Amino acid sequence: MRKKVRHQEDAADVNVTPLLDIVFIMLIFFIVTATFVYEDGFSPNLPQNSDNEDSIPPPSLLLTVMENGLVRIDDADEVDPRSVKPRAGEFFAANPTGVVIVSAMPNSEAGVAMTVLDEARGADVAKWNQITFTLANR
Amino acid sequence: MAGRLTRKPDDDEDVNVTPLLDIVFIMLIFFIVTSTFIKEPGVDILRPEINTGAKLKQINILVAVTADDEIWIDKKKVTTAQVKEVVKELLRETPKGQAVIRVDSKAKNGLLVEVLKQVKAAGVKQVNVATEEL
Repeated sequence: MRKKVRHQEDAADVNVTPLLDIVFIMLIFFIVTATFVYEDGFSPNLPQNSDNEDSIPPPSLLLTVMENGLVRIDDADEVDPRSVKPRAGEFFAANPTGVVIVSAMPNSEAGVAMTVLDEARGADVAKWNQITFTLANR
Repeated sequence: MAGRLTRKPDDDEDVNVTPLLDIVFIMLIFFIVTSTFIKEPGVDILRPEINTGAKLKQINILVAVTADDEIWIDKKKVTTAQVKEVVKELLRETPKGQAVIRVDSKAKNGLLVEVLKQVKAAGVKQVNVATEEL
């Protein structure tokens, strides 16, 4: 009887120290190498080639980002990038299916283009996929 | 007397490590699952500030475009023509997730659009621009 109890105790006493060592080393490795990258951001829509070239193009609002940091609306008036929102809102209200094209001059600053995209997106949350970001070919 | 002496150190040795092991294993599994080996571009940029940005999840590729119009991926400077190939290479290691372009506010739009196109052409489904809350 006594021997039996002792035998059981031996079997339960597996040496877990090497296992613990390895697990700890793996744990420390993963803690050290873990990099948590948190970013805020958004995905600008790039123009894509549509297959139906002969269909009627939707009404569009062209916002050209200029080198001087201003925005030219429909090749007419130049405004500050922070005042694009009401114009875009107006356009979306008048043309629910219309598209806004943010066309950036190659030498204009990215920050200004992002501001313009942000303003256009802020005008109507439901129409984010109707805003395109492209490069002016001039 | 002798029996008591041998018993006491024996009791000390028999610390119950099962709860410790449980916690360590859970932590280990957590870190294995959450660890994503992202290659940082290694340059500091000033993100554009906007209102309509969202938190991005599952980032697997980072590309930086600096104010001096340089492109950095994985702590190496690359040329515009190389971007597609380098991103393809990274995509083989971490196929899941979305790419993030860290663009400086002062960078040129011509370069930004070119990088966006190249990264998309490399096969990344969603390409984002990193921004900061205004």
